[in-house]
Amino acid sequence: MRIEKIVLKNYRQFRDNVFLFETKKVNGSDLHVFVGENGTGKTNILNAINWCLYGEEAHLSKDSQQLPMLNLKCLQESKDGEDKEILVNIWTETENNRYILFMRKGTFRVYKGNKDPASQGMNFEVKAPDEDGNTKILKDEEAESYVERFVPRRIKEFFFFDGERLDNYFREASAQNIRHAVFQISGIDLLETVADKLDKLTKDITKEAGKLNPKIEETNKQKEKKEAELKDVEKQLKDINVEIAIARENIRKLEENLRGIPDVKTLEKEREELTIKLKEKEQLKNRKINEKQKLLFDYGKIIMVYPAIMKSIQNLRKKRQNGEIPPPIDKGLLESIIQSRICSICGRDLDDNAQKHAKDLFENIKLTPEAAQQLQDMEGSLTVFQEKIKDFKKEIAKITEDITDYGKDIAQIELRLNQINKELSGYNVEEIGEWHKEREGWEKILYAKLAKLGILLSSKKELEKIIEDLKAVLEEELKKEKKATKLKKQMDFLNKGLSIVEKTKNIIMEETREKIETETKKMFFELLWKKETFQDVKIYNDYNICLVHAMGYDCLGSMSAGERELLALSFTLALHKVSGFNSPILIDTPVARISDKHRETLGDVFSKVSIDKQIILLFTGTEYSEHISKKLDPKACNRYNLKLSSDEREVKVEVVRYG
Amino acid sequence: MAEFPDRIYIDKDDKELYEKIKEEEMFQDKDIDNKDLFIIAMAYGFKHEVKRKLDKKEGYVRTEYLNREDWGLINSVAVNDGLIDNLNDRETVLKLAEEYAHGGIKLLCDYIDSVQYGSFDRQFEKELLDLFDELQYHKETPEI
Repeated sequence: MRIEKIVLKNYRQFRDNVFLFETKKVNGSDLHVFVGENGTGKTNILNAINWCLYGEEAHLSKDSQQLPMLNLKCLQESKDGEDKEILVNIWTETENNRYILFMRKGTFRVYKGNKDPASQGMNFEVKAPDEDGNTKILKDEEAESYVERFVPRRIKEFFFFDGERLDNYFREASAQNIRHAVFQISGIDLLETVADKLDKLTKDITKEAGKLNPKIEETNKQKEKKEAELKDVEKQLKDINVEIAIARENIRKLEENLRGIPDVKTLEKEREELTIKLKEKEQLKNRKINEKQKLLFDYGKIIMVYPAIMKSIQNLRKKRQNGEIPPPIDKGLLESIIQSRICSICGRDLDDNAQKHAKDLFENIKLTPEAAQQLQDMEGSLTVFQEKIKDFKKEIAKITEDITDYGKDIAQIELRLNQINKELSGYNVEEIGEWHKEREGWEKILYAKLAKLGILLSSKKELEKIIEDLKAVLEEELKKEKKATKLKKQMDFLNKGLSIVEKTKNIIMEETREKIETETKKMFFELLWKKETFQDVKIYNDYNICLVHAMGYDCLGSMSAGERELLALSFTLALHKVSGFNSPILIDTPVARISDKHRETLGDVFSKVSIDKQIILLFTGTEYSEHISKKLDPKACNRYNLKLSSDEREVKVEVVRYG
Repeated sequence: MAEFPDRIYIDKDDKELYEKIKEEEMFQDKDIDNKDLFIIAMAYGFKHEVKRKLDKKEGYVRTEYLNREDWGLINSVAVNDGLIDNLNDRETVLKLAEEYAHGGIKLLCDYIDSVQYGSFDRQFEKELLDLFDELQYHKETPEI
């Protein structure tokens, strides 16, 4: 089925517009393009389709949410209390060239002074040909059933959607998304209802059996309690898996931001540590330089005076050899003996001979005791100098080596600091730092959630075991209770039925998954521009998708935006095929998140797809750049340029028809 | 016997030079006081064999601050100049040291001025190493 025409009356920006979607005569492509700036009503075309078919506007922008559904121009021109109609009609054409018209009408009463008109009711009808070719008008459930045969409500999100979906599909909680898609496409809601019904019946019968035997009642109560707990754990598991997927996706996004960018936090930390280390090393070096200067000063005075020191030592030795040091007789004492002619030691008077001897002695003694004492005192210092000077070169060499080592360390630190500064220059360090912080935060969340997941899985296993045990006890008790034989038979029957339903559900899901995997792979490699880069697309039993690189590794996380969008598009088209609904696909802002180069290649992809399927694409002016327009304009059947009127109350449409 | 002198004198004009060398990096922050500067000036004068009589004397260091090692150096200079038998004549001994310091401080300042700021220590080190090697070469004393 395809959309042939959309008629919009008084719906939001559309006062009275008709959009025709004819196929291209020349190459048979069914591609239709809308181009309009934000606020011109592009997304409201998506909303109009949803409103017409399902009675809801799932893609309303914040601005649109503030405005009434009734066109503002119409509202302005209405009288107080007047009823106005909003109409969205979708004309569709089946494969057999039969037309089905979906019509939704909403009546609103306008009150002056109140910006929101009051809804007076809504009417949905479908006009379709009957077996004889006569047109019949269908309402309510009959009308709804036609919608379900065009694009079923449960899978509408795969047909009419925002382009962001293509970008995010395999980023955020992809396993959950795929499982959800497979479930919806499998169409097993009926089986779900049957399973619920059977489960309820089993519980009712077990309750009845419980009335016959308190032990049965007690065990059943316990079982129901544990089943409720298990249900709760399963719900928590589902939630936590989504939370884990979100955390992983956020980490991945942040890592993508940080790819190729230096690890600012680590570098900043290293820079901080190195700066401190540099200061320490500089202090140590300066201390050593000071020590060396003091050493030079201390040694300097000795070395410069050293010839005198050597001479003093030699003189001292000579005087010692000559017996002048220490002086044999006190020169002063001798002088007083000569003057008094009395010996101070024995008290006898000196005769002439003795006097002469004393005089001779006096003349031979050159040093006074004080002078001799000075020399003796000095000798100690000279010996110290002599010893000290031996270490001069060694000490200077050692301290110079220390200084050189510190200098080398400093040079190395400075070199690394320069490297870090160079690495960090040109980056918004603060923003990058924030990204690192955020990543760390998400990593913490992820670890916490993973830990909780482990606990929940173990609780689940434990509860399942308890329930199985309780079931066995219950089974035993029911066997013992003769009155419950009939009930037991009924229960066995129901359990068997339930098991068959569950198995069938799983088989269908599995088959659908396999079909989607095959079709996704087929579509992806058919549309892919770099065919040699990838090897395979896999959707595993746990619904995780894997894109296998030619080298054999999973490269889903490292694919480009264009490749990611292509994979999501292939997956979506595969869902269409497997669902059996070859209905149109409408994408709002399909290439907003990808680069010009990839826009060009995706332009080719959309053109290819439009041969077999109707595609309606809604672009902003900037998004519809030369790169994509040069690819799509030659293939598109028509292009609608949307512009707001000068009073911004309605949209003006310019139609560019091609071919 | 002459009284023990209570201070060491420098030439009044040298005061400025002593202040100036205090600004040299090598002499900063190392607990080097006036007495040490006087000794180094004396040693430098001695090394270059320059001694000059003081014109205008000004007390610079109190002798009580001189330690055993300082006296060892001052006395060695005196012994070298033939005052070995007059070492107890402190006035004469110190006068000689003052004259060497008077000659030395001027040379030292000129030397400091002739090299780039902060590089005096390296020049001084080199000079000391050369001098040390020279002393070893002459081996005038067996103990080095």
